Amino acid sequence: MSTINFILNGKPATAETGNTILDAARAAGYSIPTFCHREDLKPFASCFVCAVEVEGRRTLVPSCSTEVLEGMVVNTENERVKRARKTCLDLLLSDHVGDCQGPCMTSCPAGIDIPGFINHIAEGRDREALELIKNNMPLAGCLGRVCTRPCEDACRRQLVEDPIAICQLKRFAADQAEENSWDMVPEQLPSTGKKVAVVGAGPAGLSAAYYLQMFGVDCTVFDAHEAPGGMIRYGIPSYRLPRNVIDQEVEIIEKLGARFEYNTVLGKDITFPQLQRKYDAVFLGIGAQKASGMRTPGEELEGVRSGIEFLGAVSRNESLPIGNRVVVVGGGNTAIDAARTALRLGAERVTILYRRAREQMPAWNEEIEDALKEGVMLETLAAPIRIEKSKNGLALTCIRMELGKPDASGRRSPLPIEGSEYTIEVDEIIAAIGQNIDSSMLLDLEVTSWGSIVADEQTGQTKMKNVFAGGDCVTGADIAVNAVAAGRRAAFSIKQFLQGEPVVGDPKMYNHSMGKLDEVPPAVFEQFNPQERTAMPRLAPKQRAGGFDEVEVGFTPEQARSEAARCMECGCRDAHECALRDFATRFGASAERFTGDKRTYRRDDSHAVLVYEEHKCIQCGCCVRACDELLKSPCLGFAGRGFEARVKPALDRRLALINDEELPKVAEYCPVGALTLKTDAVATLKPGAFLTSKGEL
Amino acid sequence: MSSFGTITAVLDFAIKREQEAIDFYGSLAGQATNPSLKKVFLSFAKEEQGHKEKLLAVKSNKSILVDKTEVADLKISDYLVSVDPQNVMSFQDALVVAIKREKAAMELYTVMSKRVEDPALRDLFKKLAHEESAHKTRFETMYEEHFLPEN
Amino acid sequence: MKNKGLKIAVGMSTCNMAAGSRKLLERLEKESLDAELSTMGCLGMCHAEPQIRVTDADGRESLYCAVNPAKLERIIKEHLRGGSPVEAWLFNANEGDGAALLTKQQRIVLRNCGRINPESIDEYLANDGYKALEMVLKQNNPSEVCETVLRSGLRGRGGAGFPTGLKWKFALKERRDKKYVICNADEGDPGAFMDRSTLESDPHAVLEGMTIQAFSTGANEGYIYCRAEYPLAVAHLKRAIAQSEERGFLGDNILGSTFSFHLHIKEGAGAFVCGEETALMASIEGERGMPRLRPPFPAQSGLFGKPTTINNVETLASVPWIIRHGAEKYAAIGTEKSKGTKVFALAGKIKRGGLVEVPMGITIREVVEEIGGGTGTHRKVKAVQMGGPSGGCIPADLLDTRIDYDEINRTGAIMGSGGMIVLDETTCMVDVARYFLGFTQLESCGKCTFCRIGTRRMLEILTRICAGDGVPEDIDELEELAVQIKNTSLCGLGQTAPNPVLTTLKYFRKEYEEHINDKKCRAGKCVNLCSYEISEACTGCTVCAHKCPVGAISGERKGQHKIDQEKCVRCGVCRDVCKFDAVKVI
Repeated sequence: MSTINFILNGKPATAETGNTILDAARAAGYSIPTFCHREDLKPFASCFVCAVEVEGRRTLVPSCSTEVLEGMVVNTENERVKRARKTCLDLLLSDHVGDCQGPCMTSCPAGIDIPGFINHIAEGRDREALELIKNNMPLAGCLGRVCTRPCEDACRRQLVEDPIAICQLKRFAADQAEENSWDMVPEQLPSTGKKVAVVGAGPAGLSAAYYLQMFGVDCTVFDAHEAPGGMIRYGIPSYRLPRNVIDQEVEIIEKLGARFEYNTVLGKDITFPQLQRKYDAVFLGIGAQKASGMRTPGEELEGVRSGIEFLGAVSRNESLPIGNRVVVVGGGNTAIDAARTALRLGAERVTILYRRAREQMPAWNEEIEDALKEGVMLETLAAPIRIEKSKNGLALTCIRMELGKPDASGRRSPLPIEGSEYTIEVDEIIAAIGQNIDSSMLLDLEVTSWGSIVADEQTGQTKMKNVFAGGDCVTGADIAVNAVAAGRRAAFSIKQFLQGEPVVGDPKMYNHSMGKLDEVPPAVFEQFNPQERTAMPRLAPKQRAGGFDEVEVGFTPEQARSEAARCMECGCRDAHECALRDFATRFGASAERFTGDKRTYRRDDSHAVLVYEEHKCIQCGCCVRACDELLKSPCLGFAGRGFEARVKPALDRRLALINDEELPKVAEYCPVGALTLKTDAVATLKPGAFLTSKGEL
Repeated sequence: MSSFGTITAVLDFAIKREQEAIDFYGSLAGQATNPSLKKVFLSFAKEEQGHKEKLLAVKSNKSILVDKTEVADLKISDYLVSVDPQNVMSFQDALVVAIKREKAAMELYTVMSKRVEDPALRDLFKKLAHEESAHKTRFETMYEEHFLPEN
Repeated sequence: MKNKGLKIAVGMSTCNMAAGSRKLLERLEKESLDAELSTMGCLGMCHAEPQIRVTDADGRESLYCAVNPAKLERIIKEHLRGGSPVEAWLFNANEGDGAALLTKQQRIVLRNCGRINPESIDEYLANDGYKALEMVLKQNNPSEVCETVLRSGLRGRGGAGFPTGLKWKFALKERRDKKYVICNADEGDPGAFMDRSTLESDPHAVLEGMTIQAFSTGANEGYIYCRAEYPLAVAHLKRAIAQSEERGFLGDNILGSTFSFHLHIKEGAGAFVCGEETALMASIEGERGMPRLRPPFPAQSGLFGKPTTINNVETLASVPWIIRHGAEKYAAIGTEKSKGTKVFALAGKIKRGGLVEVPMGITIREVVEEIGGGTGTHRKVKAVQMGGPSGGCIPADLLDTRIDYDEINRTGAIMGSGGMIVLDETTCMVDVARYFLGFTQLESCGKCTFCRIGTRRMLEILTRICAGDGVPEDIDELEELAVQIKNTSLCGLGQTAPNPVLTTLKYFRKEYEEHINDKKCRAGKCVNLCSYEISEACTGCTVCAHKCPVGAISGERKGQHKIDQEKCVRCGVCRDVCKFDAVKVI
């Protein structure tokens, strides 16, 4: 063997005679992606993702099977090469059918490995389930109760009957920690000696503190209230979220070393510039807790207050005196919570007044139903216009509304009907029409005209590089899970910032999807027999009204196992090892660029240990060549031409009919999830359930 | 009313009013200590600048006013408590001020259109009133989006 | 009166038979004539088949074209029995259309086609057959033969145009115990049939060429890879091989020399990609016809890993002529870098379609307008598609491009195997690109990502544009994909598949833009994008109304007709049948 001198990416390099460009470039430390190349198989050159440029050649060449020649000038990562690789991946993705991760997981703002933890529960590994959840969701018990469950909206099981009770299973896992007195304090990285101020002990701040402490960063959490939780404590009544659940989950953060300073108001007790001086970084999770005023004449009268104020007061002292006749203005969850709380406090007649129609109420339908069952009354298409003092209380004058013509965006605004005013006698008016952000204490930090903090969506970083923000104070009043996700993302960004690394947050891997519910091939769900969703045991409406006992009482282990067993295991067994996903992430490839015909969903799980999913195959031929060259048996082969070319078991039989003991070995040769094993190690874990170690964080 | 004898005079009056609005918001922006409010007022001033330029274009015959497009009157302002411009504390306050100002202008031009005899002038006032009501709706929609999300 | 000593040859090539020659032969067999009745191959005059050649006792030849049973009766009566040729029907090579067809042609490859009985080795021998082989064996200097072929300037007629002599020299250089030669007769381009015609009409010429190829490269075994869809060619080849073996032109110790050569026929299953030489070899080896990366080139490691020389039919059929007439005579024909002659299959909107063989260096215009007679209608030539699915469209204003590998390459098209499809203004260029891409994307072996998926995506975009659903970004995406596919495909199929799209985009971009932006197809081909109207030029002949398949046309005799746009399905039949060019596309 002699040494060959050539130029690689502008630098002199050497190779042995007979080396391919791929070998030589890898030896020189360059990374070249490839699907079809395997050390133990003959070069094939089909995928072309390994294409490189050789100066003087008209076309790009497959580096896996092109020998290096003396004096060759090779470029493995210039724009032309990158463009070709991206197009190659875009094309492969356009003909790839499957999900990397289940739609539940991808629609979870926090990115919880839902199929993974559900599988753990199904098989009785509750602690592992909780650990997996906590990789993304430190407030599992809280969110297990109050989350709006975008995951369940996406759940494919509803194609069979109803979505999996994902949220309640999450709560079940969290309940087990208390039940069994598990110490759920996670492992921590060694202290970095860095200090971060977290402002706001709501979902965003708590989440940021949890992960920052895990990363070895010392956090001090400031909050204006006397207790942690923010809106989940002061905006959600305890019958929905018992306070001890919040306390237990905050206790873990305390055990991780975070210090909490309550009753500390930013801009008053401490200032923003002070924080910036004293800490290496600041995380702002100050929420959107300022109630919007109705701006109705008489709003200032005694007996009128905001929903937040009311719920907060109740939260602090649950025996607040309340009048008999209560009107709650607004149609969101806060209004519903306020109404149900008023009922529990003994109000006789609680009416929700809403300007638009019932369908337009932003509150969660289930909550509205519950409120109506408990006796709350609902008056839609009516708005308050005046409040006056009357001899027995307050005189509330309202006007009837009607929906106007749809505007350009299709939205129908409510318009007052002239002359339809009417007056009712009430004792108490609770205005829950929205919340906004008070960011006036942040001085020079960039905010939008309505006060929200301007922060990068991926990283949470603000224009001030050492200041990060997340949660309602960035998005406006929003669901809690988004705040938790934002806090976690910011923790990653802050760690990166403190270590002087590029601030990228927690970048998402490429995710392939079979599409929306109506785009899913029926073969995917037809194999499942309907099995009713397990209903969460609840207190009877009569039992509820008088007290603040939790309405939902939690799954029994048996109920949880049976519910978890309904999971259809969407997602790919190979999601964590798939080369296509890896390269698609690295080269920013997209399945959207090319639309057109796609493979048909065709899953063959007839074989005892091997599963073949033709719809995921990328036609690299590794399995076919492994059969030919290593097994010396034509178990698998190519069939068809052009776009319809496929890898098929010999004679297009079911895999079970292929009589070769060694056949399962080919699974290892599949760079994607088209050929996978059902072996114990994999089969007991549903897709995704591999990452329980903290090292991944 | 004698000063409104001609189209040009009416337009000059309207342009002057827009300029007053620009100055009004400009001075509020100057006073605001809250950066987000400062931003709000500057954006309002810019909005009024746009109105003024439109009227200038009409005056120089480069553009015309139309009152044919339909403007939904959300009537939000009818039931809102007025805010003293010097006491504006929030975006919500600022929007209330703006909506009320546009409403006042709309009403002014509507009244004027009823008082003048000259059909051409009457038509112009109607169009100006229409313009102002469109501006009002713009602000009202903004108010709805931000401050009545759950109402 | 009795006419004696006649020789009658009936065209019995596939094309002649398709035109009805078998009936003529059967009719003649029944007629007891004092004549030698034989068959002949294809003369290349597809526009005038079937043909019968009568050679009188005195040697006078009469060629009857487009013969039908009725005509044959009169020929039998007046000529075969009566002794006087039917003068009015005789093909005249010296004036008129006949002269136009033949004057600029020069027949080297097709020298015997339609002249001799392809099933008779004696007729081949009578026309200097196997003389070249004898000369070569006598000289017994393979490297000298390679030199001769190299000097002749012969380049591979399969498409790429690699110098044949050089290819042979590479193979000869390899010192290996076993070598192969292969004749690539897997003619796959739609519209190309020069190889089929040659194999059917003059099989021995190919065998002789191959035997010389084997001798010159040191091979003693060879394969003819012929598509199974050419049964007549396979039959003629089999017969020819048997005859040659019997006469000692094939087999052990050919013509008493030490040189032995054994030849097999391998019938391919008709996959277009098997015309690619590495896929072809895989197919002979019994593998799936999938191309592999070159190098190594077949000359070093080909069939069964042995040095292998692959040439196509036309190339091999030229070799005996070159040996007999000398390299210099061949090299005297053509341009500086493209020597000899080239056979073209003329098709499309052309008056005289068929096979023509012309010297290199004449212009495309001469081939299309003079030899082919133009479109044969009042419509003008819009473009000429050359090189089949791997080729491209040369617009009318480049018709003066010479038949020369490099000059044609410069237009974006390729010489290819010789398909030449004439397009007129009723052809939609987007649709043409879609047609050819549709062909290649189906025929891709499916190995390389770009060719397998990329060509389908391009086709989908083109289909969208033709359906009227194109968006402006489509053109950019087509161009991007085209460049990428050319860049990153293993074999010629993928590397050339985008050519029809690229050349139409280069010369007819406006038509793409009209489809996308104006939702118009000026050719009236894309049904979603056009409508037909009858203009004042209408004479009221009623033909269109009769031919309209959906009864959408109405009008009084001698009055201007009208199309009911609701009923019209935009098939274009009315326009095709109108003799007054009164049907307009709008």
